[in-house]
Amino acid sequence: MSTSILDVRGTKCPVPIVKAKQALDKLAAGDVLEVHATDGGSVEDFKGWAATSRLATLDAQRVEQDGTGATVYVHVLTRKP
Amino acid sequence: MSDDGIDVTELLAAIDAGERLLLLDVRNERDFAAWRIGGRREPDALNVPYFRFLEEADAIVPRLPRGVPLVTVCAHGGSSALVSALLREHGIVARNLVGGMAAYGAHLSPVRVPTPVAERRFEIWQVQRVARGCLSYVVVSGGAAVVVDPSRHVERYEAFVAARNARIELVIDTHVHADHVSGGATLAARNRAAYFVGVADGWPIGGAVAALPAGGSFWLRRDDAPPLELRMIATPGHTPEGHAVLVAGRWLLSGDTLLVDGVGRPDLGAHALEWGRDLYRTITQRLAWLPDETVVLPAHTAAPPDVGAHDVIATSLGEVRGLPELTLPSADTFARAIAALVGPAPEAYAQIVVRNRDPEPIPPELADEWELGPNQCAARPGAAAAPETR
Ligand SMILES: [Fe+2]
Repeated sequence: MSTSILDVRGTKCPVPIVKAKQALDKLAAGDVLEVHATDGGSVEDFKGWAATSRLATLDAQRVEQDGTGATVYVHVLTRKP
Repeated sequence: MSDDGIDVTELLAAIDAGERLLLLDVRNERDFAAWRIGGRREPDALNVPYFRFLEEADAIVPRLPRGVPLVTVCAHGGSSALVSALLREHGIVARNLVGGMAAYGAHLSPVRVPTPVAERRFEIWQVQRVARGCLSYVVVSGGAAVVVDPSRHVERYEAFVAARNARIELVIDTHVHADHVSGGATLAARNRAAYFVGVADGWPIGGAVAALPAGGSFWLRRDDAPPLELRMIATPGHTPEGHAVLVAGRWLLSGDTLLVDGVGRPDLGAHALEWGRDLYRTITQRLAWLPDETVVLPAHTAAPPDVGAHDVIATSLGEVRGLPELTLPSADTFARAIAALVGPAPEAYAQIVVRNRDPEPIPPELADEWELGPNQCAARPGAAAAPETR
C-alpha cells in the first residue's frame, strides 16, 4: 500500500476530479491518493463524487496553506478494490 | 458563437423568447440548490453533477430527456463543456453556457429609462444585474457620465460609457451596500472621477470620498449641454448614511430606501427599531415635498427579477406612498411592523459591509461566494414571489 500526492493546484473543475480519477485508475486497492487543490469548489465536488464512486472512498478533507500562502484543499482518497 | 457554446446574452434572450430548452446543471447538488439561473420565471432545469458523468455516463445519458435542446451549466463553464462534448458524442443536442454561473452572475443588461422628448439632453440607463436583481444607473449628459451604485464589474461600465462618447466624472454609492461588493471606489479611481458615499457612525470610508457640495447638488457640466442637477437627499433608514439622487428634479435614484412594492430593510445594523423609525421619517418627511409623479428608480428589485425582462424596473412615489406599511400612523408602529416582517440577513452581509467601507480589492472567488443567492435587502418580499432561502 502506498500514498501518493496529486498536485492540481491552480486548476478549476473538472480538472481535479478528472486527474484524480486517472491517477486512481493506476493504483492498487488500498492505495492512498492525496489530491492537493486550490479550487474551493473541489470540497463539495469530491464529497459528491466519492458518495457514488466505484473507484475510491473519501477518507478525509483538510485545509492547508502552501509555501506561497495560498489555501490548499487536501482530499484524501483510498482506492477501492 | 460557435454551435457548441452559448453566451449569457444569447441564453437570456432564448429564455425571454420562450424558446424550448432544458438547462442541464452539472454543479454539485448543494451549489445547485443554493443558486441557479432564473428569477420569477425559472427555465426548466435538471441537476446531474459532472462527476457522475465521469463514471456513469453510459447509465445516465440514455435517461436524459430527448427532443429538447440542452444547455449545460456549471460554475465557470469548464465541467459543463466536458459534459456537453460528451453528450454530443452520444448524438444529443447540447450547448455549453460559456463562463458558467460566474458569467451569469456578472451579466449586466442596460435598459434606457424613458425621458420626455424635452429632456433629450440627457440619458438615464438602468443597468440590471439579472442574476442578483441589483440595479445600477448611468446618467449621461453632453459627454459627461455619472455612475450610481456600480457592481464590481467596472470594465462593463467603462465600455458602456465609452460607447456613448462620454467620460465618467462622478461615481456615487447611494449607501454602503450589504448585498453586493461595490465597484464604486475602484471605478472612480480608474477614471479619475470623484467618488461620493455618505458617512455616518463615525466610521469613515477608506480612500478618498468627495464631500457633499454646498447646496447639496452635484452638477454635470460638459460641452455646451445645459448643466444637469443631481440633488443629493439624505435618506437615513435602510442605513444611516444613505442618500437618494434626484436627477433633473424628477427621477429619484432611491437606493434601497424605496423599492418597487416595498422598502429597504432597516435591520442590517444592530439598530432595527431606531433605523426603522428613521426610515419612516425619511419617507414621510424628508421626501414629502416630492410630487407623486416622481419616478422611483431603486437599487434593486424587492422580488427576484424576471430573467431577461427588458423593461425598466421603476415605480412612482405615489405608488410607494400607498404601501400598507406607510399608511401606519407613527414611526414607531412602522418600525415594529417592519421588524416583524424581516427574516435573518445572509451571513455574508456583515463581511460585505466591512469591505465596502474600506474598498480594497478582493479576489473575485471570494466576492462570488459573498454574493451567492438572491438579493435580500428588502424589508418585505414583493407581492408576486417570495425570495426562497435558495
Ligand atoms: Fe442595501
